[in-house]
Amino acid sequence: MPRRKTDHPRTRWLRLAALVAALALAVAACGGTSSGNASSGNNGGGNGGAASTTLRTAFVADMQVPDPDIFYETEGNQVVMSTYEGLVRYQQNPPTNALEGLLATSWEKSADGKTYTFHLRSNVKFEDGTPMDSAAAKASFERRPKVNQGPAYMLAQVASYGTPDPLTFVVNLKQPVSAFMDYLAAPYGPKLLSPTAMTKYAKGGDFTQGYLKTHSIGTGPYYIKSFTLGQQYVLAANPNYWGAKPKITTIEINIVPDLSTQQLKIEGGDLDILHNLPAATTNTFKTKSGFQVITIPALQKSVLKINPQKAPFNDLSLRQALRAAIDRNKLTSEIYGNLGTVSTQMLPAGMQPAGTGLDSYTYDPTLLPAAVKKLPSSSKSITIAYASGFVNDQRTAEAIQKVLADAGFNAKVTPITLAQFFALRDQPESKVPNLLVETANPDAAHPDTYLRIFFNTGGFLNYVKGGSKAADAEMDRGLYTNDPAVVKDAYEKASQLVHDSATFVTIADVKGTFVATTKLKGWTSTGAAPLSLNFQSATLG
Amino acid sequence: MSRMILVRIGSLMVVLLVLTLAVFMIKAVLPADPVRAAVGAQASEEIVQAKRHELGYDKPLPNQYVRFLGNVMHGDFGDSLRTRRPVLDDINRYAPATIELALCAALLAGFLGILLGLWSAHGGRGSGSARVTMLAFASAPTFFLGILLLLLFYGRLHWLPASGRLSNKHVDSGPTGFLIIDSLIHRNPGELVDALQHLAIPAVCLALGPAVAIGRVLRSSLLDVMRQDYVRTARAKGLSEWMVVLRHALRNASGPALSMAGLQVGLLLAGVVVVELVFAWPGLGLYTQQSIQQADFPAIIGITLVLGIAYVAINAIVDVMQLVADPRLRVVGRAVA
Repeated sequence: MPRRKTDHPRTRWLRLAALVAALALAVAACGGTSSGNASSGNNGGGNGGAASTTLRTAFVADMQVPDPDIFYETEGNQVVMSTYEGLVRYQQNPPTNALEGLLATSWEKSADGKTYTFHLRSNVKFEDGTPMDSAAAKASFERRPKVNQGPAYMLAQVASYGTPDPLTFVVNLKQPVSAFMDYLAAPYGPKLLSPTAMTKYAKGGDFTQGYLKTHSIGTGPYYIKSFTLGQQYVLAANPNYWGAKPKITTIEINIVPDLSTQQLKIEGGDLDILHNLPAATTNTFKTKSGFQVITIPALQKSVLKINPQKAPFNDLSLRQALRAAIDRNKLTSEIYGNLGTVSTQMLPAGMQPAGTGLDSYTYDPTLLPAAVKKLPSSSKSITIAYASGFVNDQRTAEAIQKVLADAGFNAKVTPITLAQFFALRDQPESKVPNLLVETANPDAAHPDTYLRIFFNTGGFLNYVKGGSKAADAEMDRGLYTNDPAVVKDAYEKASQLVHDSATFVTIADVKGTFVATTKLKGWTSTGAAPLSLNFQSATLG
Repeated sequence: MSRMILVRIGSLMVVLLVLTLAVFMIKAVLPADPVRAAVGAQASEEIVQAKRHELGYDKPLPNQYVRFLGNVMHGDFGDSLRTRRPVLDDINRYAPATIELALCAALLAGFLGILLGLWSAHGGRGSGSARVTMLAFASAPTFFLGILLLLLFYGRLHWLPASGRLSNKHVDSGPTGFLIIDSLIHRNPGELVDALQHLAIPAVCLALGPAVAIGRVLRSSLLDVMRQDYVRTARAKGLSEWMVVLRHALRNASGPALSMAGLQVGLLLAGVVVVELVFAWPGLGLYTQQSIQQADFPAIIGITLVLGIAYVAINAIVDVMQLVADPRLRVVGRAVA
């Protein structure tokens, strides 16, 4: 483009560019730093000088609705466990699988194991001021089967309820259920809801489901102050809470789907605690000034699931050879560092007595290559699946892929969505992957809540239909009994039978892990609830 | 013009029908169980079947499709399996964030594209390196560019926020859901600046690719136009180069750039998903990602329809703008008709 000497286009361009740059800088500079919160401050450790009363954390995605009779996943436990309480809970400090009273101070079980009598805590109020009593407990328990969503199975064996006086609540079962008290202590177990609010906010026979999509009506130390989908949930201290008032009066939960962004935000001082970072990233925070890595015992297990329904792993000896080729020590060390421990039992550590339900085998990498040589070439192409977004499982799958490749397999690693995982049981065998890697937790600390869902041949999360009918029978024997000796024996035998089927290789017991500013102190565990902590007694700075 | 609008509406209907059909086909062949994902892994088979029946998922697919079309005609997109709210309510809640981001990005892309096109066609000092720099940024994957900009402007310089639409010190009290407009309505300059700060990196991230594409097409078109006789005549009349470009060349060169802009803005809607994830932008992209993860088909179909309408509408607007920019097209249009 020719230019005329009388024009000064270059000067004009420069002026224009300078103007644009100045405008951009003005917008950036007007608000100063990036802190997203009035109480936030410096880098590398969150809130500034004085103690803050607001704790900021992040979820990778919106939780399901915070209705305790519907909520049935892991992301969101923090909300439900902070706003609702059940009759009992798992001991929190120190965290163990022992039961302790919460809204019930004590309880008795009848000799036949079919009747439970709970003595309720006095002077407890719901967040709306309604007194908590046996009528409230009855109404809350009765709501669960009416709503009839995922967690409803926990009360499926209830025959009737009794309320002999305001502080005594009786549950009569159709038959003894050895896991019943664990169901009550589970994060997804029945919680108590204000009967006043249940009546007041019910619309058109919806059992208050509409209201509870964005509100809470529990007795917990916090209540839901605001619930903005896709953006933020704010929990505030419950003024009617029966226990010690929380020092952290507000918990802000921001929806930040990208883990890199979450990491940047906690490093930038805009978040105080995170729970979703992959193990490798979490480990880097151990040496960063101003941060701590919190680990708690969690009922999480990383497991390789072997599909016995189709070639090549429909052969028991090949499954055993594959299991022998998995170096659990190396895998656990590489993937988790000290955020996981090498698995020794079929169930997550702590669910069965030490030394029982073992998943023992001898590492021998020579067996698999020898077995693969005998396979036809058509059986050497296999697929390993993991749930997309689960970085630790992806790394585990990739490490196993290398083991398989070294043995002569052509293994492909593929991510699939959770919805696809849930559909695997209904797929034709040809469409179910040969191998799956999954880290998951049970609903509670009772062995049945893990064995039945993951290892029962009809279990909803037994995607590969592994295990055995004999093991299934042992699970039933262990669940519907009142005899502790039978329970112990049945689940030990079930675990052994599942181990013998060589359809599941347990890899690591994975700790519950959080990255937090060092100013956060005084938290406790929430028992079997993954991804959440109890902040009732916590302080920030 | 009215004929064009009728044709557009007709084509919109066809596009929407095809889109809904495509999503239903995907639903049929995709090995995912939205019902199980909604009620939870350990829900009993009885509960799963009850939910499946309630949603009509136990009916043959053609019946489901007909029922769905009937509901859509009545403005009912069904309830999201994940949020358990009406899909239309969810879309209304999430859409303003996406529209605000997409509009700002589109305006920025247009502005930068014109700037780049003019500058590089002009051949001034630094135009080559500016072109190369923008091309490099535009070639980078969106998520990588997003993280890069975050590291620089949030992590290193502390100039701009990392995520969301607004800091906690400000609360959007409506009425439109468009924060820029709402802050102006409430005469709240603090909120306006805060919203613009939050918007800055996502909008730039989204705009760079389209800007480079528009700029490159505009440059080549401008170079062609500047060789035309009428441009030489304009110069001979003594008009400044600036006036020649703005008054004579730019308008005639804008046709291909506008076509490219229409295409790019459509593609920009696809880029929104990644950008909203990186910047935790509470819009339709975020809603889409979460819905796909749980095979929430009512939500996926709702979003598909909305984005389909947006895409067709954007291209219709571009067509009109082309007619305004180049009157010759109106004559050609009439002649063809």
